[in-house]
Amino acid sequence: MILGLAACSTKPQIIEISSKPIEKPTLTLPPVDEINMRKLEWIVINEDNVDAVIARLAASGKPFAIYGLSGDGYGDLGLNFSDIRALVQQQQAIIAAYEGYYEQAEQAMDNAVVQD
Amino acid sequence: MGMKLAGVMFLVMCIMGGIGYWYYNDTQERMAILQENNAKLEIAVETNEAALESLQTSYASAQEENTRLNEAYTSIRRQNQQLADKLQQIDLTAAAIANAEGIERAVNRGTENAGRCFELLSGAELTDKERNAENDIAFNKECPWLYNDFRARGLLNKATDN
Repeated sequence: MILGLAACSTKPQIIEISSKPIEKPTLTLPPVDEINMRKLEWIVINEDNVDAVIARLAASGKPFAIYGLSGDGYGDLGLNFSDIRALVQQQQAIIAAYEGYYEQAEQAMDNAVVQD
Repeated sequence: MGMKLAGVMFLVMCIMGGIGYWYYNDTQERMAILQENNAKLEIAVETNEAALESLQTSYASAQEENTRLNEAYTSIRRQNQQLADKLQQIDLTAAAIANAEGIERAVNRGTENAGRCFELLSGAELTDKERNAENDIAFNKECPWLYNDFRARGLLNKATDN
């Protein structure tokens, strides 16, 4: 009966709970370098103005050599640049999304710690 | 004989009393530990609930950012399509044959504007002309959508804020 009253057991174990919030170091990144585009000049040549353009370039004292593009080639170059610009914009949108997500997650975590 | 019996009874009572005392103390100690455990478990439950709430907030936030990103992508793709649409309407070769000087000015201006778009995307300072631009086309013909972006960030002069 005595053993039964004493529950025939040892004392319950004391539970130890540890929950310490750890401060994450802030990630501070430098901004990207600003781009300064170099000024470039297109020269449009057709059958009618080719001599005048050559004369104009000769008069400017520069050696005569021209890298040419057809009308379609120029259009494609423009489209390529447009694609690269879109890529930059998409990457910026991704960075903004990460930033927004982590700021909100941090806020939610802070709120949870405050509630404790 | 009676004294002997009384002595034995007294001894038994003392033993029973001792056991009772020990049992009382042990039970009290056990109850205190259980109470303490209960309090700790309550705290643990609260912590878990807070963590769950935080996770739910994070999940909602991730969904929100994903939606926002998809919208941004759609908008960027539409902007990127604008040049392709414009070029489909123009025969650059024919234009160069018909008016070489005019098209030369146009492509040089377009190239400068397109380059400026990259500068602005990289965080370049706005020029006075851009700051005072009255509309998106006056701001930059090659990336007019940046006008609204800068306006939303309050970087354009108030006079243009209409």
